[in-house]
Amino acid sequence: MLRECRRILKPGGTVVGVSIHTPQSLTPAQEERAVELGPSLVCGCESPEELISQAGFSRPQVTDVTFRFRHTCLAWLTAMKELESQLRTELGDEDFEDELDQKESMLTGIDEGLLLRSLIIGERL
Amino acid sequence: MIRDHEDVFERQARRYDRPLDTWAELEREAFGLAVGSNGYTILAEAEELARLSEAKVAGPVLDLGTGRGWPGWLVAERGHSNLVAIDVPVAGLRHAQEAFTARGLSSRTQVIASDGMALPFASETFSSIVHTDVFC
Repeated sequence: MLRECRRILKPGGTVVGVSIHTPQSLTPAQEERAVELGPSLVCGCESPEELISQAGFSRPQVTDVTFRFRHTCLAWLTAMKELESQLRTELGDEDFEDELDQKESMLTGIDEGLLLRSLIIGERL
Repeated sequence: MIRDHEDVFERQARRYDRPLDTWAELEREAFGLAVGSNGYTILAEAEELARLSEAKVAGPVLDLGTGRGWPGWLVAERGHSNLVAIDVPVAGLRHAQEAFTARGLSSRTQVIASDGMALPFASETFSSIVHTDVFC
């Protein structure tokens, strides 16, 4: 997908975004746990720097924003628990519990050091 | 174990079908205001993305994996370029279109259903691309 991004960018254009990823050098067991806890397609593959460079972008900049990510995750969880009764009524028990589980798992993954989030910038020269 | 792309899109589509009022109230409870986010990109982060994606070359901006139009609408509002927002779940794209229209951005924005693996655009079309939690 990043190679496609580079293709459609004009020379001098930039790709900028945030992405959840795993740290480097996880064991297979840790990778499996990260995928269980995190977003559906997270995997222990290349680092964000390697991914953006391999896609042909130049001047890669990667900034860790995991602290902010954790804060946001916690804010969602707190709000969901505060509005639990209303959310269960409006979403149904299954969907509410699925959402809650997703956020709780994400927080666990962050706290176990398995899930990171980074701001990633690349330039198409 | 990496789950199937289709499972991901199906799951997202179900989320986008949920009542918007509920999400908005949850957002306000969590962050003090509702911007249309259902993920981890809060307003301050979106402002930063909008600033960083400001065009250095002429051309539209692409919001890749726009979901319900966040942070696309903020990027369009803060910048001067036109914005194209793409994603797969049509339910989300409908909300994105509504978000752009509600903010008077419909003449400068376009919503397209597309998978990011094969982008339906000519080479060298865009000045910048913005994405949030798409590659995971």
